[in-house]
Amino acid sequence: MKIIAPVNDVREARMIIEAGADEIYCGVFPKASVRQYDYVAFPNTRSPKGNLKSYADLREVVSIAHHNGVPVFLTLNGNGYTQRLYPMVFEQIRQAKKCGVDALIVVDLGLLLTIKKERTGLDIHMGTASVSFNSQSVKFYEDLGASRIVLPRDMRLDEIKALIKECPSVRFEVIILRSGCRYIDGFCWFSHHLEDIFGSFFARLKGCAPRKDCFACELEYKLSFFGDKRIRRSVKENIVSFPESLSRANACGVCKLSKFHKMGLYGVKIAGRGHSIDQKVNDIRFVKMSLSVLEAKDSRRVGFDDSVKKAHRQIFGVDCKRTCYYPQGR
Amino acid sequence: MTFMEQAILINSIAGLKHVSNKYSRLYFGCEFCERLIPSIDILRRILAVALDRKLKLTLVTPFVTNFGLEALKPVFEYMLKNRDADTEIVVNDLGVLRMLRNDFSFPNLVLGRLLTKQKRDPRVMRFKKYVPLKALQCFAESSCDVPILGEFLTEAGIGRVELDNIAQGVSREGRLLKASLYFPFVIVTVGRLCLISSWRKEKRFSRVIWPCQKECAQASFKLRNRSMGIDLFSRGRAQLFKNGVLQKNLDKMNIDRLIYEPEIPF
Repeated sequence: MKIIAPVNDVREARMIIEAGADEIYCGVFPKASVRQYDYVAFPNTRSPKGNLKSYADLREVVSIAHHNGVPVFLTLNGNGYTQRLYPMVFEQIRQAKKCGVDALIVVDLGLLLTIKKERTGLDIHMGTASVSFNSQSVKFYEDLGASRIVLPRDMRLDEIKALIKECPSVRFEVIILRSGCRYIDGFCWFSHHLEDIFGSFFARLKGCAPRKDCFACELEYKLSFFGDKRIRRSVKENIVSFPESLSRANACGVCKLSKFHKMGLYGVKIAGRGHSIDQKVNDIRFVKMSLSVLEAKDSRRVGFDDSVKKAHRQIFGVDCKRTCYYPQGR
Repeated sequence: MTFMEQAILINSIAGLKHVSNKYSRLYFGCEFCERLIPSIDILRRILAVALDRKLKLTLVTPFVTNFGLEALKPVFEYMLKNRDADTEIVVNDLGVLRMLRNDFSFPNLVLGRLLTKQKRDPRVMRFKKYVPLKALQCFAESSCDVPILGEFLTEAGIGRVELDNIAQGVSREGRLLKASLYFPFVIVTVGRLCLISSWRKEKRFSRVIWPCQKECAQASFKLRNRSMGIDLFSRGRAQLFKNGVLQKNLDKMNIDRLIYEPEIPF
């Protein structure tokens, strides 16, 4: 099983590979683009700080990675490129080819059709926000040239198993660590880009906590209930917040690696372009260590889950119970 | 003045009470949850009402897992046998589109609003005065109007796309597919987590979905946070805000149908 890890700075590439990443993904957000599009059009879902700063940086990352036998994927995973953004997108594709990138990670259907039409020669991976919950969706993308699918976060293990079985010519990845979310990527229109640009605006709003009331995924709401009295009695009103169990930061599914291994999952993705290099290296080592334990004899049968949970507590200092990517039931 | 078709969306039989003579088309179904795919019996009743009241019918379908694909098969078989020339199916899942094209050859397909990628974040309006006009224009457009996608959709049997009445207004240019506009509720986000079902178990929040009792049909939440700038509403998996103000130039953008949502959709 491959470990796919993020890079957002040239200096990270070597460290990420040495920590154990088998494949790398990154985005590029050149300064010229930031100025040209007045800060409101981003080439992918991360802010500038989560991206490489130039195509020269991308070229260097690819050089380092290829020297170590590691492929590099460019994320063009914006969810809805309008026509006026296509010049930016075309430039990204052109530069990706020039730099020797191995695949594009896309989500937008118009972009997928464009890549197919342009015959770029690059592999196409469908990102999480392409929302492939069923086998027909997977085949839809396969028909259009996709060779790999990154599955949505909110899938049950039996659903993932069924897709792998029914679509054997497609490779599948799941997100295994970090960036949990209570919403479906491809169907969420809360804009983290607005939050990145206007975070200080929120900080100045009376009654808003600067960081806490910025990210839509972590907002605390005052809830008011309307409806059937019998349901009202069993629902706690005036609930302020979604609890920590939906935390973005600490989501983890590493204890399920044994099950993914049995299913034939191709790779596990560590989320977090924009996270610190220390965190990314720690995350990769944790997943690598867990995979090594898995590959040792007998570990698949007994005690793997518990040993991983224990290791999670030791390495990260928190209990993983509330932040599980794959709780039972959906 | 260009004719604007008036449609109404209901998610359950109980919603029929909202249907008046004002409407010429009935939207029935759900966008967010495969557990709410209607039974054949319910469909039969809806078709009977539509026939009786001379309403054209549009069946709305959700995004689905393999479970939902199987649940939709008998529904599509029934619709294929009992449709008329104006009957439509709204798809919110590309897998469902593939199935309809390959296995059912259903004409009159519509691309649902989950698949037309507008910028729906209501907080856009909070920053309107700080953002250059051309950037705001960017927020009013949808990726479904990109020409290459329009050609693909037409070949795939889709003749119409569905849009939300987003707060910053809708902008469409070029050769466009026909479009419908839902109002007043605008989808902001959807999850597989059902808010109302999750809060019920032992009065503690649960991330998993306990056996569904379709509580969404009977209850709803209002969610308020100061930074959002507007209240959000939820009955199940989706969160929406309300924008009842309609632009005057909709017909110039090939928007020829308004879909009224009398209740918070679920």
